[in-house]
Amino acid sequence: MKIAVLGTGVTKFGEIWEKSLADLAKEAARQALDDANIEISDIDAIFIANMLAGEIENQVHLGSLIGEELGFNGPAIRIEGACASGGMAVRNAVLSLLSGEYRRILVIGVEKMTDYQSDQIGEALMAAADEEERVAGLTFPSLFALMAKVYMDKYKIKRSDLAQVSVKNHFHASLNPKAQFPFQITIEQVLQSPMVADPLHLFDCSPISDGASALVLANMNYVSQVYPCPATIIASAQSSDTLSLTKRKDLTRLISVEKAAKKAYQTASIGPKDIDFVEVHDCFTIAEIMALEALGFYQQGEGWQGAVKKETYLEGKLPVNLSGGLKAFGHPVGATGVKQVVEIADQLRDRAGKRQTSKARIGLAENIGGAGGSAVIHILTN
Amino acid sequence: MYSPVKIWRSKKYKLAGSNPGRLLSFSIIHASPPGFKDQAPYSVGLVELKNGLRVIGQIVEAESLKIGQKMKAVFRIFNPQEKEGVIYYGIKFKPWKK
Repeated sequence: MKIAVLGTGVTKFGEIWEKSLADLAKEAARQALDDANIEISDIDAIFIANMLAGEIENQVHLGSLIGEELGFNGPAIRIEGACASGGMAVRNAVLSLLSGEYRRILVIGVEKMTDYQSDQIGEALMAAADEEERVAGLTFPSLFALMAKVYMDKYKIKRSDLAQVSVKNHFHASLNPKAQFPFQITIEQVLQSPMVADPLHLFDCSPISDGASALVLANMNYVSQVYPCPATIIASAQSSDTLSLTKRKDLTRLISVEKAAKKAYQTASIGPKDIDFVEVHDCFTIAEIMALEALGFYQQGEGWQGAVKKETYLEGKLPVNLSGGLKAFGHPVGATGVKQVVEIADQLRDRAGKRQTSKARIGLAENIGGAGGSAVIHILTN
Repeated sequence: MYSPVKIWRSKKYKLAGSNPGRLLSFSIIHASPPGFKDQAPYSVGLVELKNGLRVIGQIVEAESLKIGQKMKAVFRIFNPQEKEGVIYYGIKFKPWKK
């Protein structure tokens, strides 16, 4: 598989009160189109990734809405898979391009979350969970807390081991001007932050954010000297697991990620040891740890060692979440999966400034939905 | 929104033979959704019932919790009572006492 990344774009993530959903989508789209040196009229289709606009703003039909904003009236569709919406939109663009039906696709992930109170948003996010979990008063932090409790009990790790993931991701974000929280934090600050759902503190959890991210992707037949593409997608895979935690075989494993990873590695004819750097879905600290194990970088029960032993820092043997991850760069739900691929592509094109890794040859992005009910993985190279 | 038909449809299981259950995991929720504010902080757990069914629900009347602990599934009213309106029953858990 080979799909060209012609252009990337990402807005600042954070509390962006002056900008609407459409404003953010347009800003990211413009960046990507300018980067690709392409007009909107050269785009064959737009794919919009978004989870919550229907829930909180009563606005669906985003293909048409964003098309209107961009002055585009070709095929336009919204794609939803909870927090994996972004990755799914990228995957569906890849599939459409491989089919030959479209030549160039603009993918935009966008979310507007800070117009409302955080407990209202927390309730809206539970649309990605099971009904039984909702009526019992669970929240997303508590779903991952249930997993973290079992993991900590089984593998004997401490809360400070979880906290190290946030400390690392904040360190990376301190090198990234578009991050929501571009500053470092300490383990003590994580452990002293208010308890959200034990054992997860506030700073174990990714924030509520606004933001958008965009990619111009093209079929390789349409790459030329006019439209060069130094970064390509060489694998795209998706898998699922049960929605309800009650139906999971092992609460300490992300089976959807394991299965998608296997397919992705197979497509690219590589293995975990060939990956130089990664963007993973750290919606909560425990999620990064479980992802690193599911992706085959660490054995079961050892993923926590990455941040603790500094192996997953910028200068380590496998940099993870150089963007700052979801925790420190921000997590506007629908935008995240697209932003992960943007980060990988920008690193591969040597555009990451202070957070640039010297190892950028093959990068992997892992995006999950809900408590791991969906997983999408992309692998890129330069 | 409470739909009587949906509630009726979702309640088609039996609790007979389900106790004691085993607590597989739990968490104390401090930051609760709207509608649960007056209960916060409260505990929730994932329990495997004796008949093999696994259920997620709130834990009540517990002083301390430990993974592997025996739990009893009980019927409780979930929603606040209005003069007219649907009553929503569901399963909650309390520590198993012989």
